[in-house]
Amino acid sequence: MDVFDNLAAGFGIAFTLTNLGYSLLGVIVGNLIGVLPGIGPLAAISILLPITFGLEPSGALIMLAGIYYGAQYGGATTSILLNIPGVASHAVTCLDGYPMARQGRAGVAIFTSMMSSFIGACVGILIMMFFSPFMVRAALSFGPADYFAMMALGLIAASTLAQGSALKSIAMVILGLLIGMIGTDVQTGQQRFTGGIPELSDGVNIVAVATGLFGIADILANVNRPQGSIIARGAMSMRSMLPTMAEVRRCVAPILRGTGIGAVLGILPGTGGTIASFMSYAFEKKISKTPERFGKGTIEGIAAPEASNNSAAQTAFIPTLTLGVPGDAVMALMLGALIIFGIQPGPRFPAEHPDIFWSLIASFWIGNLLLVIINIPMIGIWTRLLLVPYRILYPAILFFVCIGVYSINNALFDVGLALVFGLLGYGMKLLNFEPAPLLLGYVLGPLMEEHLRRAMLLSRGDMMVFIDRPISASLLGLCAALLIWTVWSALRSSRRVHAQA
Amino acid sequence: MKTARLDPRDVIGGLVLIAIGAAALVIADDYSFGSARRMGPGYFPVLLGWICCALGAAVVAKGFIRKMWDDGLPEMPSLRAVLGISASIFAFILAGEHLGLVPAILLLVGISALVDRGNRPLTAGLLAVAVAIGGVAIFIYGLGIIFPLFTGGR
Repeated sequence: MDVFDNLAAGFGIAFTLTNLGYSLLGVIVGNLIGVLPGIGPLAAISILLPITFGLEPSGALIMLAGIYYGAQYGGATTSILLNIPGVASHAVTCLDGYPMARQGRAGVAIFTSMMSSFIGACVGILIMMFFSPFMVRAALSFGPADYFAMMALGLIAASTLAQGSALKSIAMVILGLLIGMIGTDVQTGQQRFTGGIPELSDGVNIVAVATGLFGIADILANVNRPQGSIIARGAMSMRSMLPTMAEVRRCVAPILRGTGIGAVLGILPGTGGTIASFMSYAFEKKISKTPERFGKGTIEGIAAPEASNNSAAQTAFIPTLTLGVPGDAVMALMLGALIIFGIQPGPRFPAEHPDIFWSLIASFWIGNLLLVIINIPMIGIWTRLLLVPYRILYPAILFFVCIGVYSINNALFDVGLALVFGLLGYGMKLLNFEPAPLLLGYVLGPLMEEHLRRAMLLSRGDMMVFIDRPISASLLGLCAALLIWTVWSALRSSRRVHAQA
Repeated sequence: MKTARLDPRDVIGGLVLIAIGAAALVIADDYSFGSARRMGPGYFPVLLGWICCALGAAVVAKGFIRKMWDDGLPEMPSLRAVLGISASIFAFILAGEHLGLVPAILLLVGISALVDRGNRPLTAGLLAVAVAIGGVAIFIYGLGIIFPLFTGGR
């Protein structure tokens, strides 16, 4: 089999001592940062992104991916122990994880979330291995119009399906697209929206945008805010973590169903771990014979969403790497990192850089295994680390942000830019606008414009090209359906409120 | 909030969006627009500017419809956090430019730590020294980032 030859070669690269080291470092740092309240994977990756720039592309990607799913595992820990989701995709885990911790069963809850995550991730990687070549073949028949439609669908799905007001999220996508316009126009060399500032001629630095929106804005919002109290203190023994046989049996089906839901939603553009975990939780509750137990500390309520968001976390790499179209903000950052390394993800990426593509997949296996191994002994350390108050942590985080942003171009200008985006992000938080759609729009902006121009050039300015091509027509049809559904459900829910009043 | 007639979050946010969209339209007016077939550098930004204005207007409208309001109550910005954190980053940039990395870290961490009311000046000072030592060790000696430690007031 072709896949296994490639994978073996990938393991050959991933198993070198340096790359194993990067993977280990990535998962540990990611795990640590995922555990720390107030910093999710997005902030973690954007803060640590600059550190990887000195490395080889494959080593850097292996480390970044390690940070990503290391933080995924860690985020579940804070949801269970603190009732604070490190990231939105773990919000559902709080519902049953925190009650379990309050019943003194935090260890079992963490162990369950870990095993479910591991199984979900493994299936996700398998799907990625076998589905990617198929996706690549399909993607080769994509024209510029199809790419444009695909990105439009991704942006609309990401903003209408995520939490918060869909209207405000779409507005953030547009703002992100506009920010993406800053810099030099690729086709004409025209400087756009730079205000004559030479540092902006290469565009706004993605790390400055991301660390500002997610790192600095979080600090601004969380400083002087009372912290949650920790339930489980001290080390946890292995025995206290093991679920009973009956509980294991109860988990099997939810894990499998969660994995399936996650895998599908991960591949679709614009839908990711958050939606996957919410959907699988709702699904389990719906089909359960005892739905009243959900929300009071039932183990299925942890197993299903955790399996789901980890399988989505893996399959989300498929469109990002094979189409160059990221499904969520984290993937957008990954895409940004690849472009900084001079690699353009797309259908040609697996064939042109098989070493990077397959060593990344191999490192997924290694990283997930490492996480399961290190997570158990680490939980004791992490829970003690949670005792470090936020007021001591945030100045250090702020330093990481500043030095990280500086190091990309050795430019203090970028640090100032990060502050601007931090203030913007804080303002958005106060006004209830989501930052993730903005980042997604920012990354996709230049790509969308390029594909739109190319599509229009090929069709000689005929807009019908978007409807004539079956792929773009069906994708845009989905966009329209989503928009109509969003408007309709908003109107319906407001009518219902009206009827109650 | 019973007496409120509008959600200030939507009205302010929407007006800001309209302003940004309008600014984009004014600035992009200088770029050649081109035609649908050969889009100039102004085409896509102008398109986005109009959409931004339209969405801003829709968000303002949403702020006047009570049943479409967001959950939760509007929060006031923390002036202390905004001014303190901004000042600390400005100090980092200025000190980094003229004095070197070590003074920059001391100022950044020292000033930002004082934003939290629970931190005393002594805590902030100790934290600043600790981060400076650790930070220089990790980033300058460990990762080889180029940033002069002291430049002696250029």
